[in-house]
Amino acid sequence: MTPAYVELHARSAFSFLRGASHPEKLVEEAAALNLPALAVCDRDGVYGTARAHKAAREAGIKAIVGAELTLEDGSVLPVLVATRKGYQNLCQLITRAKLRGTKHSAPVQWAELEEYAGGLVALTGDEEGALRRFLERDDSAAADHFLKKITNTFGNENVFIEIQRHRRRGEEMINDCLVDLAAVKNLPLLATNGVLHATRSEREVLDVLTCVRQHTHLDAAGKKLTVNAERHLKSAAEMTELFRDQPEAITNTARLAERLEFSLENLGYEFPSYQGMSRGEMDVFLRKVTLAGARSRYSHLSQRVHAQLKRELDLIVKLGFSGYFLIVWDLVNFCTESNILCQGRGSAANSVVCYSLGITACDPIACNLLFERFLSEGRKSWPDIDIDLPSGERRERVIQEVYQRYGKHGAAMTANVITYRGKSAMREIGKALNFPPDVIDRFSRLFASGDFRHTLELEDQITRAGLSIDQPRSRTAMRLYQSIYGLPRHLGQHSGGMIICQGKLDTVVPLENASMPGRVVAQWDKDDCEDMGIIKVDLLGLGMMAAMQDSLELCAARGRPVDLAAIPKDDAATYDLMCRADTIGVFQIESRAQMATLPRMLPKKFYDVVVEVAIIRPGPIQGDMLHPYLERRAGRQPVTYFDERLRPVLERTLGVPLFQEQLLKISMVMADFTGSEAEELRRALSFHRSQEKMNKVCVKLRAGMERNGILPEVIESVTKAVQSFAVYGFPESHAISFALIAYASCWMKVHRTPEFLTGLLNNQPMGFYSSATLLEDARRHGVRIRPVLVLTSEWLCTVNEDDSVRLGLCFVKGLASEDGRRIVSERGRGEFVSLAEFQLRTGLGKIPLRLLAKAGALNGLAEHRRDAQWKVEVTREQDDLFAELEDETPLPLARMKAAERLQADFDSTGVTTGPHPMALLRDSLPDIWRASDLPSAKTGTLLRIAGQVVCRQRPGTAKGFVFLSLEDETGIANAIVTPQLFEHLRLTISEEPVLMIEGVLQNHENVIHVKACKIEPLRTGLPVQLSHDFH
Amino acid sequence: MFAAIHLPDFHLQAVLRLREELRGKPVAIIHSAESGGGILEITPEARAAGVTEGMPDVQALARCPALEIRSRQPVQEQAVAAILLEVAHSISPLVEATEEGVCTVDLRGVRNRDWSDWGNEIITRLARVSLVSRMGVAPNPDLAWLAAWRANPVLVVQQPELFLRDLPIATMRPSRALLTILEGWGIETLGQLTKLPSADLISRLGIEASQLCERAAARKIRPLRLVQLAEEFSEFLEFECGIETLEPLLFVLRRLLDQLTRRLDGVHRVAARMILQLALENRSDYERDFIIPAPTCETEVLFRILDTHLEDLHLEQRPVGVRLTMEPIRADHNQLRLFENPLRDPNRFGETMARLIALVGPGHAGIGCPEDTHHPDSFRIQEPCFHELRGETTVAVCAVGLPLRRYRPPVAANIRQRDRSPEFVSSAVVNGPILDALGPYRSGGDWWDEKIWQREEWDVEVARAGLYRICRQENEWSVEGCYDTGLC
Repeated sequence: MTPAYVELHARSAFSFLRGASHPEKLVEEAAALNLPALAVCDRDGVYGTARAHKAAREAGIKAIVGAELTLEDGSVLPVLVATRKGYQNLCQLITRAKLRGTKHSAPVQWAELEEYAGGLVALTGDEEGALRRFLERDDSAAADHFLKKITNTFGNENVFIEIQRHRRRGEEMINDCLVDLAAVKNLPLLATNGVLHATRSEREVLDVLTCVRQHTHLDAAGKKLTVNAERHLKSAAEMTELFRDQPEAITNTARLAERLEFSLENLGYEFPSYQGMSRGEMDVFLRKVTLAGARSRYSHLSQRVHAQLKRELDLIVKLGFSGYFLIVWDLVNFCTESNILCQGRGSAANSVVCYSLGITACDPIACNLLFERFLSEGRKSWPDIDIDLPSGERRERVIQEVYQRYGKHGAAMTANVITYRGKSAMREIGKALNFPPDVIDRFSRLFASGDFRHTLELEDQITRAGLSIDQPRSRTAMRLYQSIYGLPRHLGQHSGGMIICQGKLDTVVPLENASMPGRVVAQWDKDDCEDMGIIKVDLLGLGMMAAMQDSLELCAARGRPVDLAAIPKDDAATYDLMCRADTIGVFQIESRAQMATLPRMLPKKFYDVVVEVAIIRPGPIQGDMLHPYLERRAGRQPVTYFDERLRPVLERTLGVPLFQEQLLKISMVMADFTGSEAEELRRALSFHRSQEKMNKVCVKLRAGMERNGILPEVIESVTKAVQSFAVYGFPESHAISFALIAYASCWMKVHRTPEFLTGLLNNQPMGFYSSATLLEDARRHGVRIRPVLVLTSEWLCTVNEDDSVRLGLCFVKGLASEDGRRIVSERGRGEFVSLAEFQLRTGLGKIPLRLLAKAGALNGLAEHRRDAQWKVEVTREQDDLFAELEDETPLPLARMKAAERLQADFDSTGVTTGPHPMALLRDSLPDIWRASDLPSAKTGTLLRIAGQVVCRQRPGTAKGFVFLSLEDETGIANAIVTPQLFEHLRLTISEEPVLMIEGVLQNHENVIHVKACKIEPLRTGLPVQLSHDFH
Repeated sequence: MFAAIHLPDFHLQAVLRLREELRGKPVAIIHSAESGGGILEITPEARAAGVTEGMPDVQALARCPALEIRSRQPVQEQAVAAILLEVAHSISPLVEATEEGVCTVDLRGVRNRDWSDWGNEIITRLARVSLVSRMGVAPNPDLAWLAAWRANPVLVVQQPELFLRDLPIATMRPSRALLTILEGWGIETLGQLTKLPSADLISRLGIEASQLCERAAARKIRPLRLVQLAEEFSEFLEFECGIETLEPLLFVLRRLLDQLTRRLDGVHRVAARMILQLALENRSDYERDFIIPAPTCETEVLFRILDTHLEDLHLEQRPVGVRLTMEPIRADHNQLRLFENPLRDPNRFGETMARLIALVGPGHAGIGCPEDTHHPDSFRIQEPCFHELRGETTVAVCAVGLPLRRYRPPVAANIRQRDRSPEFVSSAVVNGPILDALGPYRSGGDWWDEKIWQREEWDVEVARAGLYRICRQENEWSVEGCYDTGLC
């Protein structure tokens, strides 16, 4: 009988360029080979262990935790975790090294190893290990010394002499030495395969990654590459055969694996208690503050509210989540006290407790929201509370507050695993295969419009980049592309996910420095943290929240204060704005697709906005829900239900399921799903979960419905709806939270236009449109835009008394903020009277002066821009007695012409306060329709439009169709491009900034598109603005 | 007067000169990737399709899908630059290589003539070697240079002020910073520039503006930075008819060598490298590069190297021309030191090596160097580099185990296996049952290429024969060698 074998030394792709397989793939392969356990030992971290653990749980094998530690002498020491204490020690050891070191070098010090060796088992390592290095150098004294040191540190019983056989000539000489040493030192031998890839075929990937790491290519890498493909997972039989002369090296693997009792199941994570309270105290306190909050939220606490509060609080207490709610509540209080706008979003909005605590803004009772979507008894992981904050400095203040409260070792951002995608994968493969740089570059440029493989195959892309597909290397590149796509490339930080811990977070997961100063990041991403039961609070930055807060402050400062909570939800003018799709700049419903739906949706009440936010999503679109909903809404289709029992669930959405909550309710009504089963469905609905899980839940759902005697066609329709939500479903509570901001932003656009515009301008870049488009739109709404002027402009944009907006000095490209602020502060001490005086008082150098002159910002101090440009070149000394005297000689430079001013505006500020560039061309384009004239054209008219491309879109749901938005001086015209035309003119469409499109006009319920049949670049020579492309 | 000869689209011409199939097609030369890519130069056909210089190559392809994109060819560019210099030197010895594709020639002292006709003659000469050129003739070098850019094909500047008036400032190549300021001011031509009050201008923009104004006024004659053609140390001779035998070629070569060594001697240089190029009847070239073991300018030594090489040279075509080029170094650069030179007479050794190489063919004599690959016994033959031999010690790779006597080539074998281990070997060198086997040792590489290889090696003990290394590659077995145990 073959003895049991456990692979105790495997590196995953999370060793970043030192391993070629996903941890899940390693586990899957180990299970297929009938290995009872597998140790994933990534380099200087436990990056892949959470995934390995999860996969192992599903595969029914044991995942052993380990890591390869880089020591100060550059050697590598693999360690395995035996106990929970050992795991905590490992995390702390890595954290110490990582926080002390740099991104590329963070060695563990031997003294630290001694301090944290408890609960860890050390292996002597592979060819990078110190012992083998000494033996290869024939330095037996150093080898002896090393063994003494390591046994003193870890204890004799916790040190194993690692022996590997990769069928390399010469390796037996070292192995013989290792066997001898083990005998002499009385240390156990341990066979491992030093696995670097799951299967034999992935050796190629490893070689490519080696080239990336070593900054070389395959032709030049020589012996840096692997000699053979033997470092893959092997079965017990293969390993036993390989070590038939050393059977104890095999049996020791199983013995050691048994000793390694720790698994990530007993992570020992605890969420911090609120202000040191006991669990009981927290429960009582939560009830108290919730009731107090409810009383202030509801004028009258109805029986229904009471009952819901009791139900929720009982469950929260039962699940032990009181501390969590209190800590989030505390953070929200901090935001309120610090005057930082914040709003909870996500499923938390389904909770009346969250509403009462002021975490969320929508009333779940009034909105009839499903609490189970947020929290249920069957839920294993923590509830998800996301908080939207103004992006930028205000959000950073909140993040830093969390660090301050829980310490550098107690809180961290979750990681964001950046993986190889189309462009990056092919770039690295191209470099490794030694493709000419221009070919790689061209390939990347061809990818500029995203990874749309459904209309342009990789093969075509390679050919278009200038490589023959018949070349063997092109074939190799395509093969490698499939293998490398999706492998981890490096670790970034999540945009807002923070994890906190009772006690030390660095005993739960290793922490390292983020590239942003003052931030610490965990080695696991948010999904890993969720899987490991670590609680996460998402502090998400929303540009619109920042813009709104700035706008509100401006309104208050101008004596027109707005209380966001008190904005009337039935404002006719606001709905009119939405109905005519006049939504440039507002939240969520400003995209081309949203604007194309609004005139058909014709929102009349707040819930219509909720539906509008949710319906333009891949889920409803792919599930064919958009069209039926709009048809029913327009009365062209009758409102029907899958089953009459679903009327209360689907009535609000005219019988069409649009929200995740509705699907959960459907499952409960039609298939008798319990809260736990609904939770299972919810997890399967999260868009990145596995298809396998989804299928499993669907089988259960079908069975439940069949049991209840539901008709087969109804079962089919319900299942189809559920499956389409798996792509990307939107929770109703989330839609409500977004709709609140969307509605508020629309209201602001209607009633506080200049303030709202100013808020948007001061928080760019954000949203769909550039500042130039926002200014054009504002002009069409009667706002006058004043140029940057040193005599009046602040650093940021401001609203003038006459409701015009003055551009801020921040718009001058290249002007340092300290220069801008110096101008403002100097002006505060007295008006500038001349350019010379301005120069002397501000002490600005020639470069900022030139920028200001070109932008026209010195116009009040000079006759015109050229005058300023001429004058700022005069060098003035601080003690120049004649500086005050202006140059009397006549100006030799001519005033700028209109086109020159336009160019100067775009060059220096990216926007113009003068005419739109297309206005200057209009006379030369007699047969081109203006955007504002399109409504007067009949459907089917063949016409031509032209303008600057402000947006290129190719939604995944549009089957390869491309949408282009062209801006002219009157507005924005939209065009639809078929996949065939796009592929034919791919580069023209992607690269040309100004286009002329000929096509057939389609006007469907006031949604106007031109279906393109001919597209040409318009070579205007005029300045262009940036477009929002293929997001 | 001064004449500037300009090869427009220099980089493009360098590529197209030898690529006739590209003529008449839209072609673009791109900047190197390090310079940020983008279109450098284009043919008129590409321009007609909307491609412009500076455009990203992808945008250029968008406008002209048939566009042929080519990278710069430095070797071809050097050749074109050399031709340009040669032509310039045929006009006057006072030549400046002003910039890539532009030569300026001092014509002072040349008898006054019809410069236009004369210029057209030069342009025709360049056209014969497939180069398009323009010429500017003017009273000073800068003006001639500017005129060359505006010429079509010859422009003789009679009234400098008039000529300069409408010339864009950018043609004077001021610094980017100065040009940006002037563009911002709306000053685009030299005429506009000279109208500005010069004192105010200089007080604002400093010395560079002052220099620019001076150049724009075109009154100064700057000295040319002369280049001597001789610096190339190259001699070329075209034969009236193809040479049939070795003797006349050697005779010519000796003459060329005499000339070259004299020139080298005159500037205190010695030849470190010698390149022999033979132009053949079918318009192809034969080229041989000789590293001179001990750099010298002795005709005899150099001649012996050529003689030895040519003795065994067999050409399919008759030579119709010969070019001999010397790469010079300073004589003291390689002065021999007392204890360092391991060779008594490096040149004699070099000659012997040359004879050997002539005998066995290039790549078959020299120093064996292991290649950086896992492929066993993979090496390349490298010609000894004499300059690096001195004082160097070769570090031998530490060999472990028994020495292997390799059979080259390996001997084909039939191997019988049991349980995937070799059991019996039969081959031309060894036959018999295998008593013991160690292995398999696996290796493989070049999986990304056509040269992909995979091997499986075994060390086997053959009864009454000794220890051997056998190998399986592409399912074929072979005996690779015998371990030196004294048995085989």
